Amino acid sequence: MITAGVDIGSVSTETVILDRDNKVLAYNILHTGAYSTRIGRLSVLKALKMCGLKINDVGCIISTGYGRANVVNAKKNVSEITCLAKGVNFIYPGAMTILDIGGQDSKAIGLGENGEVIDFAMNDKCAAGTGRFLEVMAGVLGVKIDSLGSFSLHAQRVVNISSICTVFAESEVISLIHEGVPPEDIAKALHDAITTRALSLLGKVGIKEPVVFTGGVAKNIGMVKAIKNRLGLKVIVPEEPQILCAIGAALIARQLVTQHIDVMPDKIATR
Amino acid sequence: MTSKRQCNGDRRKSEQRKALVDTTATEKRCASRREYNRRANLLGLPNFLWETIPRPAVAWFSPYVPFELILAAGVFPFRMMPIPSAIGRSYNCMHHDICPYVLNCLDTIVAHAGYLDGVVIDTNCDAMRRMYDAVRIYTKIPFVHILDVPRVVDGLRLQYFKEQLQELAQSLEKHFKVDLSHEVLQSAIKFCNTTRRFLAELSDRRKNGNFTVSGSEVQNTVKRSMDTPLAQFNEKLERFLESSSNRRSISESGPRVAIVGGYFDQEFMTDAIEDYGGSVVYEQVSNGAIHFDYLVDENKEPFLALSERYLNKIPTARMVNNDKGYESLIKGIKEYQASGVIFYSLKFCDQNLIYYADLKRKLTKANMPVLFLESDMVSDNLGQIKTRIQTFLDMLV
Repeated sequence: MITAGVDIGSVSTETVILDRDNKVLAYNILHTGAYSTRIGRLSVLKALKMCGLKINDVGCIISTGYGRANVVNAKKNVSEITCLAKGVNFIYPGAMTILDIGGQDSKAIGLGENGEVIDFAMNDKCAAGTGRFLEVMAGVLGVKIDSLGSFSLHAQRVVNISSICTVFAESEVISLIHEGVPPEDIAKALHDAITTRALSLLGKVGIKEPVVFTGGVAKNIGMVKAIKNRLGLKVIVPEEPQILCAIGAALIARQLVTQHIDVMPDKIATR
Repeated sequence: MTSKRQCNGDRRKSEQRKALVDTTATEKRCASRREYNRRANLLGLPNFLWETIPRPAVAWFSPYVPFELILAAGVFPFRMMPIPSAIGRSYNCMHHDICPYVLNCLDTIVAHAGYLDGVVIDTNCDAMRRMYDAVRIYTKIPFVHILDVPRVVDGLRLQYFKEQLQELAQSLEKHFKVDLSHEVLQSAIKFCNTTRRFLAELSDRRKNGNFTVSGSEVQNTVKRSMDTPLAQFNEKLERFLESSSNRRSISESGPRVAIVGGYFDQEFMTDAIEDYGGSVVYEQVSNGAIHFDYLVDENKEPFLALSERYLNKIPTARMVNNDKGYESLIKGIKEYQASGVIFYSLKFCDQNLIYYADLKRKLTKANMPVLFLESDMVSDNLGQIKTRIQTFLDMLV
């Protein structure tokens, strides 16, 4: 029996379908938008369609992410930190630390020897140092968010941006533009500013090698380079860094199926 | 043919929709919410309303104010527990980066000054002192008293605090034109001790693995003890305790959590813990055990007895030596069988933030998992806080 994990994040929604041997049958990444219940449903149906299956073929669905309470036919919802730890440990056994930078969250997770969460830290409630910060700054620089990372690799000199508050940093970026600083240098400075923030987050849980870098921001080559340079440790970036949380959710669903726990949707914990 | 295919397609779509949209869970959630609302208000007391508070009324703000003195003066003492909302006029009176409890209190005082006959503010922290200045300058509340509370406990300070209490008593006598005799004060002390005993008995029903009252019920009841006339409250709580001795245990097998910190009025956090299968079994907060633990010695000279009780009770983060706070937390964790601690602090509360660093080090050494949660009371990021709580509970399982 197949299982599914649905991760409804602030920016993107991912669904992963696993077969009985925990192999990924299908996955998709959709833009969350304003209707998380609808996107959760759509994401599951699309993933099922990709592997030619129907909703009744799914043994158990576990939801996670910000919109986890809105996947109405999930057996239960599990926090994204627990799911991410599960997913990372499954793909990279032996990983000790996770850095996850998503749309509005950044998280550092310390893992135990068996992949269990032993400590975690999250950013404060503002979006400083997250994907949203980079999105706003890319807009100011007139660069597409997808190419901001590679754009920053062309930087020639070091520029400092002292603030990572999205509002204040935007003012700083505009000042730098008017001082004639090349946008490539500014882009690199922005990545460095986020890296500083990420390192302080990692410091709270203790950095142990190997570090796995996940989340949408891990697709940004400029960020990956900055993190690797500053950490000086082995940093693993998954091929598809956005779906590990959904993989973890699908693995938890598999556990429930294996333990013969009643997998019919009966309870969603949050309001 | 086309119509048959269309019909089959429609049926398939309808089945898919049916499978995906399960309304039972939503209904269950709503029912559980209604159940919670009914249960949390254990005593069925009416909500605090400014329009119906007994007059004269004097507000107090921290667990270091002996409200026995206010009660003995024939005045209704109540703890200010503001309903958090967007800060309004207090931003005109104080700077923004200051304790949100104080900002909310000041907003409430300014908005309801007409219902207040006085306030007793103590030197709990710098924010409280600034609030005293702001209340004096910006409002016309007739009785505004500041009570200086020492940060160190020794013979000299106990004597000093006793004198401070005598000064407060004299101010109350003068302003409200009453005679605050020892007999009246003794009787007020006995009355407040009764409340403390009842609250402790209620809280103890979560001890040693028992769970016949929930965290949200205890927290709500402690809050009501602070803003309800005590005669009414004591009678209701006594009746409840007598009638509920055989109350069935609330089924729970999830992690048991203790909450530590300053003023804790975040019902949604307790809700989240309970919704995710955990339970709150002990609260060492200023509106929890710190409020009702330790009785005033009824056989001693009343001012000395009050001074001793308020300085010797479980200390808050403001005190220089917090070893006693840690010891009583460890005792609470053992007795209430908590498997994790949530430390809660209000934004900009330097005292709690400094205390947390020390406490975390000690608890980590004792292998006790700790989660730090911070709030500005108003615009909390509920999603993030819920994620933290859910993950923490997962860690404890």
